Parts: sequence; structure tokens; C-alpha cells
Amino acid sequence: MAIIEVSHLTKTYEYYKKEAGLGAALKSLFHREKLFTTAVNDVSFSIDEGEFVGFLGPNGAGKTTTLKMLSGILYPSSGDARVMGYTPWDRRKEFQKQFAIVMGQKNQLWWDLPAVDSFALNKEIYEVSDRQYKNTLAELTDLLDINDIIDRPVRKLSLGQRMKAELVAALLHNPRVLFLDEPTIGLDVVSQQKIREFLKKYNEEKKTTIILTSHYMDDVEALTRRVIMIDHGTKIYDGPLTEMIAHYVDHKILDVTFSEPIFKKDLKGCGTIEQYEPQHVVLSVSKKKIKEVAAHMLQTFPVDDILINEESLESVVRKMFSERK
Amino acid sequence: MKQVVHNIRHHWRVYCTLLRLSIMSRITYPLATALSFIDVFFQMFIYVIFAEAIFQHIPSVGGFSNDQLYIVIGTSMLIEMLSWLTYRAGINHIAFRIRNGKIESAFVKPMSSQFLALFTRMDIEDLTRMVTAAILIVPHARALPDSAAVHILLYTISLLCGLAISYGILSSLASLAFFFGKLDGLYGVTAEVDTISKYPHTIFPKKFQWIFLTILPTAFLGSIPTLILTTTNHWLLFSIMLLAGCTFLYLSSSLWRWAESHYSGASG
Repeated sequence: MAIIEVSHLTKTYEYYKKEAGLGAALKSLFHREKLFTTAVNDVSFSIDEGEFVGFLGPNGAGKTTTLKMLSGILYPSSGDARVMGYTPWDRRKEFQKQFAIVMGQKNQLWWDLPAVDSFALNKEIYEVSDRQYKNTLAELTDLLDINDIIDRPVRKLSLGQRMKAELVAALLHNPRVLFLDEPTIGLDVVSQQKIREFLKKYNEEKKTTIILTSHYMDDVEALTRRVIMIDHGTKIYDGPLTEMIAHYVDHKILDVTFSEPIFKKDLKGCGTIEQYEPQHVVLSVSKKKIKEVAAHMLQTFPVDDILINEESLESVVRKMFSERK
Repeated sequence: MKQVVHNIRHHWRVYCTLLRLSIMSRITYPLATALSFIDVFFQMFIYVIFAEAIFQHIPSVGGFSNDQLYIVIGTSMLIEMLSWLTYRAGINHIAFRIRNGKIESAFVKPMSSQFLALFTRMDIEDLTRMVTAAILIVPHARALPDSAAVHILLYTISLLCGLAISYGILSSLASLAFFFGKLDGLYGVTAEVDTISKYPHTIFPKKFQWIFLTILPTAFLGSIPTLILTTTNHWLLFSIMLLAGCTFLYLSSSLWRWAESHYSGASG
């Protein structure tokens, strides 16, 4: 059953043209040219309860604007959305008690105080009972392995620890829907992995519906089965991640290490050279020709090691967006 | 009715938690906090000295006796103190929070967004205003009318109404930040409100007095609570005070709701 239904959602921003220089600034006091930009353009989709959906797109594609409309922060210019049966921008308290939004670039924890004090504030705001607070806090801090840091001032925590604490603060009231906007941005690889593991487990155990936007394809690959891709405010793909890969991936990556140096010109006809060093090459080869090229390499060159890899999701996405330009 | 009581209790509990966090946050830097206490006390003490200098030779002005003049200043200080312990720091940061998008967290939580956006930090050093206000009020409130307890009770409630009125004025102006982006002029208005409320509204020419009872009702932040405490006209004035408090709260809340519906995001 759909828990989120979005129908022809559009958001247009107004802004004024600003030219460089003092003269232009003074002129703008008397005459300003009003411009419009459509951040989200006629986007429709629906998401079932318990789904974990990746929301992908380049910078400025309209991902965050969509999440902000679904959480009631922004009013749309047109279109409709229902989240758990509520219109988000009506900002009904019953609705607000059932969802959470975490933005990787904005924190809600008190900087100078231990995270646990900010948790106490959220407990009061969301009217969480003492028993539920105690149980949920224990469960979340165990899952995220941050028992020993929640009583340290937030300013003394690492970025990864802070993001984990942000997640605890957002989940204390057991939301049914969770919007995550770049939750792993700026984190080191280990912290990213820990947060991914937590989110996967949380989604599986609690059946919380999660929409995730991320620039890290590893996040999307590890967590979501379905992706919605958006570019220039328009939805360009909505479906299983595997289908998207199958549709757009017509090449494989051939990674070959040689025992002796070889010349670049000798690789002619073996596919597109992505990377070249005299004893190491990375080639992009059409799926149809991969066996033939691999056999040719083994017969012709002094091959020390050969690997056939799938194209990374990141390059697939890059290809999708560049094809649209 | 039950829902209203529940909402008030909910907001009170959250306020108490915010106050506790503010105190804890301030205590993290004890020397800076001590300096802030000294700074506010010094500022207010200068006010007390000026009040002495100005009023010691003035038996009465604008119908206010010498004792009442001191109480007007003390009352204004008390309302200022309450404002710093509730919304004032939030007002000062509102434009910045709108520009950088930090205000968004107030829009997604199950409470009044106006409350969450403005009641963000309480400046505890302003408690010192209570001391300076007491220095001004207590010695000059010796000769209260009969039934002093009623006057003191109504005066105390009228301080809360004064707080509601000052909140109404300043939060209405703060709502403009949704459209203007920056509100540097607000600091000037705030300072003027603080200054004007420390003098009886009756010292101004008659043709201007209505301004201080209506569009910039600073009379309710000093003069009228003083009259409630010290004159027998207290019930009528108290009723007006209560009505003004409710009206300003309602207007500021409506204006806020309308203004926040125009929020277009930090990048918008």
C-alpha cells in the first residue's frame, strides 16, 4: 500500500537577476528583472510502506526541494502529495509526529552540550514517554555503537559520530517515514559503511519507509532496490536499480596488468582506453566483445593478471545524465 | 479546552527543557558567562544612576509621581528580563536562521513553528535585570493603595501581558525576515522599544501619545503596569492590558503563519 503519493508536483522559485558591479546594484534598486527557475517539474511517483528508495540526481536536480515539499518545509507551486494520508505542507501535528528528516549538512544538536541533552529536548517536543525514550535510546545507541560518546559535547565529536547522534535524535519518536538528505556527506569510508549498515538494519527491522538522497553510489547500491532519478527537476527513471543497470550498462571494464611494458598503440581495437600505464591498462569493452578481447589479450600480451568488472553505478549514472545533455 | 491545556503544558515543558539546556550551554564557558552577567548588571546599573540623576529633582511628570517614574523604569527592566529569558535572542538570530535554512527544523516538528523558531536560546545573564529592577521598584512602591496584594497580583500578571505585547511587536517585525532576508534595522527598533518604554507615555505631546498605546504600544511595557500597581484604576487598566496582550499574541501568530508560508528555502 502506498504511504507516499506524489502527483504532478512542481516547485518554481522566483529570483531577481543580479549583474556584477556597483552600477548594476544601484540600477537594481529601481528596476529588477524577475526570473523563474523550476526546481521540480511535474514529478509523480508513489512509494509503498517499508520501501527504501534512492533519490538520485546531480547537484541542483531538485532532490532536496522534493524532500522539503514531502516534509512540509516548502509549499509546492502546483501538484499534490500525500504522505501517510496527510498533505505535508498543512503541517498537521499528527503527521509531524510520524516522520523525520535528517539533512547531512544541517545539524539539530546543541553544539556545546552532550548529544544526550539534545535527545532529551526531542523527547519533550515529540512527547515520547519515559519508557519508550529509554528503550529506543538504548536500542539506537547499541545499533550505532555510540554508547560511550553520547555524553560528550557535540563539538568534540567527529563528523561520523555527530551524524550517528543526529540519526538517534531523529529516530527517537519511531517515525514511520524517514527522509535522508545526503546523510553520509563528508564522512570517511568506515563511517559511511557503519551508517549504511545501520540504515539497512533499521529499515528491515522497523519497516520504516526511507527515501535517501546521496551522491555516493555505494550508499544507493548497498541500501536501495528502487531508484528514482531526477534531472533538471524532471523524473527520468523510476524503477529497480538492477533494471537501470541492465538498461544502461552495455560495457564491461577490463583491468589488465602486464609483466612487461606494452605500447598504447598495440591496444588498438581492444575497446576504449580508460586508463593507461605501460604495465597496467583499464579498458571499457562492449559486453558483446568482452570474451573475444580478453582472449586476444591473453594470447597477444604478457598478461600477469586480468579482471573483468561491471561498470560502476557512478559511471552509469554519469552516462545517463550526460546522454540527456 | 482540553487540547488547549495540553498544548500549553506541552509548550511549558519544552520551554523548561530549553531553559535548562541554555543554562547548561552558558555554564560551559563560565568566565564568558560571568563577564556577561557583569556587563548586563553594569548597563542596568548605569540606567539606575541616570534615573536617579534625572528624577531626583522632578516631583512629577506627565501625571506620574516621582515614585511612579522609578517603577516605570523598573517595570520595563523586568519585562526586558523576561524577554531575554524567552524569545529575544531568537528574534536577534531569526534573519540569519532563515538565510541559512536552519529555521527549517522548526517547520517539521509537532509544535508551533513560531515558538520553536524564536525560543531557541535563553540569556540567563539578564536575570541581573531583576536585581536592578528591584533596586528601582521596591523603595518606591512603599505607598501602595489599599488591597496591595490584589495590586501586586494584577501587576505580576500584567508583566506577563507586557511580555506578550513585546513578543507580539518584535516577532511581528521578525516575520518580515521571510521577505527581506536581512533585518538589521530590527535591532534599532528593539533598542527604541526598550528606551521609550522606560518613560511614561504621557511625557510625549498628546498628538503622539496614541502611537504608544496602539501601533508601538510601549506604554504597556512600563507606564500601564505601573498604574495598575499604584492607582485605584487598576481593574480597568488590567482589562485593557489583558486584551492588548491577547490581541498582540494573536496578530503576531497570524502574521508569522502567513509569512512562513512564503518561505522558499535557503537556496530559493
